Amino acid sequence: MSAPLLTVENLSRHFGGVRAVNDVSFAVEAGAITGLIGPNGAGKTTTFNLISGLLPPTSGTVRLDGGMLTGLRPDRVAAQGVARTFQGIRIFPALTVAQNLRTAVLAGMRLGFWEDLLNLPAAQRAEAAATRAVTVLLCDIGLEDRADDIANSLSYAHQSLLGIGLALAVRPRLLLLDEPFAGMNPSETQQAARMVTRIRDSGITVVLVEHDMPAVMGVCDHIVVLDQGSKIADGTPAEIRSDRRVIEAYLGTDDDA
Amino acid sequence: MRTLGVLLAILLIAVPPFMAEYHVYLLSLTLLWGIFALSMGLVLGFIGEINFGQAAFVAIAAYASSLLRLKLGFSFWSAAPVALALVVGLAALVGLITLRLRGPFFALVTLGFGEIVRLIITNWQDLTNGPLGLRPIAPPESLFGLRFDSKLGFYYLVFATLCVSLAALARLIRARTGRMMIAVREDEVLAGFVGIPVLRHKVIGLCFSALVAGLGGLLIGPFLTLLAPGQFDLFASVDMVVMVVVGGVGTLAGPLIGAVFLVFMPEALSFARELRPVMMGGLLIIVTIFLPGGVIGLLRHGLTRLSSAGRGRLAVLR
Amino acid sequence: MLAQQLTNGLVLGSIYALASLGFTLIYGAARVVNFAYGEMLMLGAFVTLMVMNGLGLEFFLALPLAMAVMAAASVAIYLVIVRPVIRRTELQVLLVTTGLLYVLHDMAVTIWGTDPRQMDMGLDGVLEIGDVIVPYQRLVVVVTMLALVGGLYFMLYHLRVGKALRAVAQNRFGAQAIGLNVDRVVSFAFAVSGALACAAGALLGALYAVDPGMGSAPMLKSFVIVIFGGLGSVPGAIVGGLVIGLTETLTGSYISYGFKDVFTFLLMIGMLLLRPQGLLGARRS
Repeated sequence: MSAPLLTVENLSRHFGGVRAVNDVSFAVEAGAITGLIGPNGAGKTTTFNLISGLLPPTSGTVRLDGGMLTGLRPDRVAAQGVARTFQGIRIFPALTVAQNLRTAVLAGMRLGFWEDLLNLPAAQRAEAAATRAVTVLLCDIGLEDRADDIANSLSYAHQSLLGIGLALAVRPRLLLLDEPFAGMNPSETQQAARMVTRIRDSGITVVLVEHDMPAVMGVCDHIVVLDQGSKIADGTPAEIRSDRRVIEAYLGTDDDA
Repeated sequence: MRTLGVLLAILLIAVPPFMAEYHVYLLSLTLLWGIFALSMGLVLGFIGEINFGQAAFVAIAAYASSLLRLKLGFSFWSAAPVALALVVGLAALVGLITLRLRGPFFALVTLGFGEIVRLIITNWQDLTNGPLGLRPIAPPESLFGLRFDSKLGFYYLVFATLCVSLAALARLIRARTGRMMIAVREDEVLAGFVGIPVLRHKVIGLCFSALVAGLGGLLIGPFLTLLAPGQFDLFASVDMVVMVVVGGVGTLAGPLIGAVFLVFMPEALSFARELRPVMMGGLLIIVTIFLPGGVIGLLRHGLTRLSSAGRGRLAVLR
Repeated sequence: MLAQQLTNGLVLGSIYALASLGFTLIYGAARVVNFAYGEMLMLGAFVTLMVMNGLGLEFFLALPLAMAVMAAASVAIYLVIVRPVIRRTELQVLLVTTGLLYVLHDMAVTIWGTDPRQMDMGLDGVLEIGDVIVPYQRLVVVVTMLALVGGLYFMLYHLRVGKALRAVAQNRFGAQAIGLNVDRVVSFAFAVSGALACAAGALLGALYAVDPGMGSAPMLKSFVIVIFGGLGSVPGAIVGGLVIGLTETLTGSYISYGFKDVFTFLLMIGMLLLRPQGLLGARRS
């Protein structure tokens, strides 16, 4: 096995007296889909926010390919090749789908301030390259015929796809998906799961947080299970399915499955 | 829209020589406020914050250039770049400190900044002559054979400044930097995670806004022939806000329309002066509640009814 | 000398704290920054004066009546101009209260003119403790501030409506989910805020003078104080008021009178850089 792309070491985050995430360590294999699961309040989303740098950890580190991610500003995290989506979806609501993607594509381009402002040839080349990239992205997420729609007017499932498109526009090595199948019907979930697999096959490592257990089991190569802020299991879907502690953790809660 | 703009520009160049001096003065005043409103429009519409210290940027440019002229013998033209550099530099500094804050916090702190600047101007009497103000401030020296010592000559200088400001901002919001600014306004967190340095783009926005405010500030001294700290109080900044909101937030034409509505019309119709603040405040409330798109929004609504072709245009605007 | 300055600073601080209470309460309850709050102080002072002259009442009898009037006015402001935009953007709430500032100020100028008027509290004389001198009028301000703070705390922690208010302040959606009528609670907060504005304005008016311009100085102070102490925090307003009052008095008498406000603004900006939520404010994500 190759060296892991992402290493999480002794990660903790406390809110006042609450230990939302407590001494969690795991590694993410390059080129695989890793799922982060657990009952409600297990600390999945907090872990996710710690990895992506939305929250600073109380202690512990996150490394990407050996380089430190902890403490970096979001735009620096993106520059390192890490992109994420958000629970409940974040898009640029007043822009069209194409403008949304174009913004994210342009953000990652090297272009001098004055070259851009004075519209020098370099800027025009960047714009042309962005147009091509947007066309490809629209095709990847299957929203070609929605390109000129205002993002706010899209259906929930389509907004979710656009959210993934925005993350892909960053050209990530590592893609963090926060509940990618939330609010989708079974056929939409299947479609989205196929897309996640396609993303992995194109060489992008994926980590996802998800509630939908069948979808997680079907799509993930590797699963990390959290309960009450701590890691309780780590293995292939088959191993997780038969893990006693995981079954207990899930049966122990009333309203979760 | 573009043809309309060109037509309007031609009118603004061709008609004033045939106007009464008072109306030329009024037109200059309107355009000057148009420049200030434009600078506020960038903050309000493209950063998404209220800057209650905007008048301080105007004041700093006005005082810096006038002091350089009065005390050190600079010409208007050699003082201008120095004053503008000072304002933009200060805006960068203020922005780095304050733009980490959002909403009411940013508004309150910029209000504090504006007050600090006004207090310093009022109290540093050796330099600024305090509340009595600086006077007389001469019109700009002639440049390339153009003279600015008449009402008409000065009007053309104001007009040219407005055009330059408008062109610079129009380019900014079409450039990558501008689109990054819009993304930050739309969703700061998401913008960060798609790789946009959030604070930097807000600071750049504030610097451009200060540059435009400063350009107007250079002109206000010679225009009034007098500078006093009272001209740059909170109400000056709020007036700019009202113009932007009435005209239309998130557009470049909006602030200019706002200036025409709130400066030119009341004066030209010799509206009761005492009622002006009530009108300003009342309009701000009514437009915000019932017409968030302002006059531009109303016009656009009418246009989209006529043809649905302009659909994509709305996208860059809120 | 120093003891006198410290006393002056504390008294001034009490006035400032009083002027900031209603402002910070509204922010805490409804996330509304009322830019017109200073004008409400001014209006409160005029209403008190009207009640005194109209009904021939003493200051301290007129004040509760005036506070009731201002409470009603404040609720009307909420219902007519704030509620329509409260669910839209933060920017729009700032815009309507800024508009209100203009309207109230100019209405006052039109109705009452710009000449300052005297308002007699009916209390003369001074209290002397050693070298320290405090006029009774100022002492009354401190006592009133303490009484109002006491009343506010009693209301917030012991009355149903106060508990509801705190619940709404902490979590609007949670409060709604457990069946609280958020709209009514916020209206109540506006009423309390209006009454507090009236008390602060009347006392300020009695100490100095009543005129349409009297609202702008305390408004600016309130902003500095609540940001320093923590926007939305009642104890923050009190501590902030005292700190700012002391800073102003001490820097004003020992460093430079003209620049005393600059020092307090710098204090505010320093706090924002070190602790953006303010001294006693709760961190918000």
